[in-house]
Amino acid sequence: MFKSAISAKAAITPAFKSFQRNVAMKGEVNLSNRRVMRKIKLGKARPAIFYQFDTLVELSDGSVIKRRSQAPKDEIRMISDQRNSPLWNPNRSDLVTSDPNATGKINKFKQRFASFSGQTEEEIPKEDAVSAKEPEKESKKDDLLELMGHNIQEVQKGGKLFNKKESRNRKV
Amino acid sequence: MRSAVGRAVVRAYSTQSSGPIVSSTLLLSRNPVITAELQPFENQYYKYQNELWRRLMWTFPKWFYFREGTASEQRFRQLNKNPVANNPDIEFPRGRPELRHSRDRRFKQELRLPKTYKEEVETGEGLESEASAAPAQDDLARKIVPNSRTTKADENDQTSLERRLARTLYLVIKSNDKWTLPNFVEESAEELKALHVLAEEGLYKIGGEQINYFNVSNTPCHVYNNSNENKKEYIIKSHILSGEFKPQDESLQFLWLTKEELEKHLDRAYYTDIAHLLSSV
Amino acid sequence: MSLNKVFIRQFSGSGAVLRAGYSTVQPVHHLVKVNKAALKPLYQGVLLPKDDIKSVSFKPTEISQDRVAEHYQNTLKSDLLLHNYEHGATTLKGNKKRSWGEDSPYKLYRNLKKPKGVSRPSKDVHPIRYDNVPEVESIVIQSYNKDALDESWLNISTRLQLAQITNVKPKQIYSKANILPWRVRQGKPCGGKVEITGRDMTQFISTLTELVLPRIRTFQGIKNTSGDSNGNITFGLDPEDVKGFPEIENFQELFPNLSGLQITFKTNAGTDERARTLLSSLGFPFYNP
Repeated sequence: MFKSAISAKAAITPAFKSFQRNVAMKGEVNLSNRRVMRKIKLGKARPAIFYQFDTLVELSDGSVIKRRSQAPKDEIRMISDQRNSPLWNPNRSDLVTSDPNATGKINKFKQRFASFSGQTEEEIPKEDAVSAKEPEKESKKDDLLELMGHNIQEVQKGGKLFNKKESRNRKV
Repeated sequence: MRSAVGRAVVRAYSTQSSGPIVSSTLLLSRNPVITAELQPFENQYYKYQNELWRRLMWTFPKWFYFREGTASEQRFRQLNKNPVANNPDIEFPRGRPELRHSRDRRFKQELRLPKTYKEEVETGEGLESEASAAPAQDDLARKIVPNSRTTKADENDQTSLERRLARTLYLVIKSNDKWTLPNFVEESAEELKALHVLAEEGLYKIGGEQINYFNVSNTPCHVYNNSNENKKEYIIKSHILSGEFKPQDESLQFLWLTKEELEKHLDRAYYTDIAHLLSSV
Repeated sequence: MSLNKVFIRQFSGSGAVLRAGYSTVQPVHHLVKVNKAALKPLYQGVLLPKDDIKSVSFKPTEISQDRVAEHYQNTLKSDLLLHNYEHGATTLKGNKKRSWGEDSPYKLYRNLKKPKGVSRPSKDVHPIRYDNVPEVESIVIQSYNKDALDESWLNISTRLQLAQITNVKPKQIYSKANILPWRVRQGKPCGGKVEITGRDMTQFISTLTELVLPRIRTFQGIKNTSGDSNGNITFGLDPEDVKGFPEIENFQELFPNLSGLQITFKTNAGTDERARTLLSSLGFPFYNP
C-alpha cells in the first residue's frame, strides 16, 4: 500500500518545468490590516528556535541518518537519493542511466552516430515508447523549444510560408 | 626488485654515484564511514546543550500541521494529552501552570508522533527472533533502526575494510618481515615516472585492479629518509573509495589499521616520522 | 553623537582616518566608546554577550554531533591543504586602485583612481596554508517571489517555506529598483532570505547533496561558470525542485505556492576554482555548461 502511494506521487509530479506560474488561492487570502503585531521591548526578544523533531532518514542503501526537522514526521524512507543516483555514482554499472525524457535532435543524433565516437550501442539511452510515438514534425522543432518542456506548443504566427525545399522533394 | 649492484649501476649512469634512491610510498586510507565515537564528556556536553535548546524552543504549531477535525489530528491528540489546566479553585503547591496553545510554558514541550510503521513491531519487543526470521527487510512499513556501529570484521579480521567504521584505516603490507606502508621503486631508469603514477601502478600490481581510489594530490605530502636502504620515500596520499585490496601474490600479507594499531605494528622511528600524517579519528 | 566631528576644511571628502568618535590630536582621548545602555539598570541584560547563558537571546548552537563538520575537520581539511599546495607559491597581488601621484596635495587627497583595465579592484590571492584552508563560512538562501508584488500574503508563504527548509527564521527582502512594466516598486516586499551557519548549514548541505539534488531529473551539477571570482558560488533551484526537501515533500498540501531558491555558498577560498574544489569535496557535482 505504501509502495503504491509513493509511485502515484511520482507519477503526479510533472517532468517539465512550467514557466507560466499560477498562484494558488489567488484572491482568497485577505490579511487583516487591523492586526497589529505586539511590540517586543528591548531586551525581551527570545531567539527564534522552531520546534524541531529528530527525524530518522533511511537512505536507499540502508544507511540511516538523523536530521532535525520541523515537520512532524519521525522517519522517512528514501527510494532514490544520492546512494543510487548515477551522477554521484559514475562507476556503478547496476544503476539505470537511461533518461526517459531523452528526445530531440541531439539525442537522436547521438543515437545514430554514437558508434563512430567509440561509444557502444548499449551506452546510448533507448527512447521509450512515449517519445517514439511522437510525430516526426514535433522532433523537427527548434531545440530552444525543447528546453522549455516537451509538451509546449509552438505558436504559428501568420500564414504558412512556402517551403521551397520541401516542394522540390515532393516533385522528385 | 633489482639487486643492489644493478641499482648502483643505474644510479651511476643517471646521477651521482651514491645518491639516495627515489621511491614512492602510498598512504592509502579508508575514510570513516560513520560518525566518530564520542568521549563521555562530549556526550554529556551535547546532551546538556540539546536540553537547553529543547527548553528554549517555541511551541509546536499543531494548528498548522494537524487541521482541526482530521483523523491525523485525532491520533495526535490521543498520543499527546493536554497538560493540567490552570484551575483557579485548585492550589498548585509546585507553581501554577502557564498554558499557551495547550502547552505549559514552564517546561519544555515533549511530543510523540503517530508512527508510520506497524505498531506490532514497536510493541512486540520479545518477538525479536520472529521479526528477524520474517522477510521484514523488504517491508517498506518497517521501523527504521540505525545499523550497528560494529560489524563482524571488528572481532578479529584486520584485513577487512569493514572494520572500525568510525575510524580512518591505513593500508600496511609486510615486506622483509616488517610492517610498512607500501613502497614502490622504479623498475627501470630509462623512462622516469611521476611519483603518483609510480604509486598507482605499484598499487594495482600488488593489490589488483579492482580498486577505485582517489589520489589527493600529485605532490607528495612527506618525505621519509630511509638511511638503512639509502632511499628517499616520497609519500603520496590517497583514499580508497570502493573496491577491495586483493593481494596478487599469495604470500603478501596486508592489514587495514588505525593510527594506534599502526604504532604497534610499525618501526618506532618510522612511525614517529610519519605520525603527523595519520588521522587520530 | 557627532560632536567629535572635525569641521575643518579638508582636502578630500573621504576622511577615512578622521572618522567620528575620537580625536586625532595627540594625546588621543576617548579610545573607549561609552555604551550608554550600560548606565541604565533596566537594560543591563542587553549588555550580556549573546553566547552567555544568562543573556535573554542565548541560543545553544552545539546541540548535537555534526556529521558534515566532522568529515570536513577529519578528512577534507588536510586533503584540501595538500591539494591546493603549490611549490614556492607567493601572494598574487590583486588589481588595486591607483594613486594619482604625490606631487600636489590635491592629488594626494583625491579619491583613488580606478584599477587598470577593470572597474573594480580585485582581492589578493594568498597561497593556501594551514591557517587559511578553504571552508564554507555560511550559506545564503534567497527566494525572490515576483508574485508577492501582487499578492502580498505570498511573502509569508515564501518565508515560511524558507524557514521549513533551513530551520532558521528568514528576513523579508524588499525590491530595490523601480521597474514599472513589471510592477516592481522600490521598497515593496518581494520574498525572503536567510543566512545559515553552523549546524543548520551543515544539515542543509547534507540534505541538498543526499536527498534533494539527486532526485532532480534534469540536474547535471552546478555550472562551472558560477561564482563571483572571489570564491562564492551560487546556483538556483526551481519551485519544482524545492518539492524534494523532505519537509515540503511530505506536506505538499500545506505549501500550495512554492517559489524557487537562489543558494549562495560563501567561502573563504579566495578564488572560484578553490571554492569549486571545496564544494565538490562536500558532494556537489559540477559540469561545463
